[in-house]
Amino acid sequence: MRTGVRMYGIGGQGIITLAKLIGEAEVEDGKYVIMTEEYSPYVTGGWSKADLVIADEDPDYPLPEKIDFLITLSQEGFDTNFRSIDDSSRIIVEKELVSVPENVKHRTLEVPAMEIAKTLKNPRGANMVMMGAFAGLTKIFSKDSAKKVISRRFPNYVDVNLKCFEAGYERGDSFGR
Amino acid sequence: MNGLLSPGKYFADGNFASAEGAIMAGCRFFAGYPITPSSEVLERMSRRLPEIGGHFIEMEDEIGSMAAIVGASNAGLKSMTATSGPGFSLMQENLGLGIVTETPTVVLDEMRAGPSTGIPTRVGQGDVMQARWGSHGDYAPITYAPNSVQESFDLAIEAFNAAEMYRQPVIIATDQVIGHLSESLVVKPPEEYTIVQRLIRKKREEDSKVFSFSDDFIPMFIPGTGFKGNVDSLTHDERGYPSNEASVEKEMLEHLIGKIKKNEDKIIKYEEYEIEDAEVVIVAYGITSRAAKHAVKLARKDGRKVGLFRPITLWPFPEAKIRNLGERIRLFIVPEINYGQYSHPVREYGCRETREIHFPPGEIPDYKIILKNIEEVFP
Repeated sequence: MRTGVRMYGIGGQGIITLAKLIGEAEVEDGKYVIMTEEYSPYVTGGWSKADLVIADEDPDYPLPEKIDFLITLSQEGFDTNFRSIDDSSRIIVEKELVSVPENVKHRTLEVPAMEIAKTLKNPRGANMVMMGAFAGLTKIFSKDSAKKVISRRFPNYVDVNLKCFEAGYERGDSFGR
Repeated sequence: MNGLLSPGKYFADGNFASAEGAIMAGCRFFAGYPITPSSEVLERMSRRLPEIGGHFIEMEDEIGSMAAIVGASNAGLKSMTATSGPGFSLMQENLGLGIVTETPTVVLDEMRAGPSTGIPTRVGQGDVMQARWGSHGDYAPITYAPNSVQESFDLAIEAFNAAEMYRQPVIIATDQVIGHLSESLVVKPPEEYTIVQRLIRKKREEDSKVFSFSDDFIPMFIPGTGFKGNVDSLTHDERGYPSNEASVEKEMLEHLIGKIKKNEDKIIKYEEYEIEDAEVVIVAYGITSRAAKHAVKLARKDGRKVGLFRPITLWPFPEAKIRNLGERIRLFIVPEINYGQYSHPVREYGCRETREIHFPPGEIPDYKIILKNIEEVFP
């Protein structure tokens, strides 16, 4: 079984970091993961994209054959991808940055990630909120592994990032039910 | 611990793995000029080498980088550079210097779309023939082509070992996708890796030979430690002295090429997948081999007798292996991210019909195109 996840956003939002941490958490759980990344030539302000293939056995081919989950923090990410994904795919968007047509709303989790991050005094932690939302919605990697990799990645900012993750997790978990 | 990467499981990209594999192999000198998509190798080396008592130099260009690693190796350190197509072109002259002076060193070329500066951030496989024939004159290069993050690490170690064993520059021809994709990497404790240490001459021998054309691997000497010898780019005899004689050229070249030819069985590495009963064999390397393997798996489900032969060393070319396959199969398919390079020796040595698939540089090869080609050749 191969699960395809696409993450999309603007350079500076931490899209690549988000993808790497999800990948690391999956590896902690013993899964096979391949991550490919792409970005426009700008460092900050251009588009940024990462794809993950998550599988129980070696997936060989590094690209997802199907996007099962789209996580986007930019309107461009939604507009350029949502037509090419099928009706069973789930979408997670940053609520303030992405407006979603009515007919897609039932399978879209809208997370006010920036607002949550700001309230938790970690304005750069929107990507961690999104990671939590994805984990809560899918349970595709364990909370323990997520906490482990976040702590390893931000040794000086463990608490604020875990708070963001937890807040996102709740949103995802309740939407998933 | 000892400054080496701690054993364990990592989620890392190919560039990280190449740099850490090189350090594990004993690389303690890196000279380079940053170039996408290989810059992260240089960046990591710039931080890691000073930590463990090594040396890092950002050079003025790739010509200087190649010269510096040849020099550093002659001064006694295991050395390396990393680059991409445009830089690899500039390195060709001094790569030849490394060949003729029998200098162990490692050149990582992370292939991107070309020609010229091409598309810096996007994949290509257009340097395969350059890795074989890029420098002028005759020689027998060793070139590795990793297809995963794990292999980027493991083959970095092998490349250094081969460089030391056969005393010549060794090329790692990786590609942008492998360099930048992240997946799991398992690192073993250092004592579980075989690391070839350089033999260094301690005592001055009477005949003061610098090279040996009869026994292949005489220990190198380090200048400044009591030895006096000539290490020359001109055609030279065993003492290192230049010569204009065709007979000396013959002796030197037969040694330079012969030391690789004689050891081909030890050097050549490959992976075979579903090859036993295959009527059609795909020959693919680097990132393309992963698309090919996926296509083979799907085609096998439909009962099509197709297999994959993946050269892990592109050069020396696995002549005997391809010849044997050619004798018993009916078709080779060679997909590459170029307009047909490795397909040429496959056709030449396989003596069998060879279908080429040309993926334009810039994209990860679509396995569906390989699958379609397989389907077309099975009635």
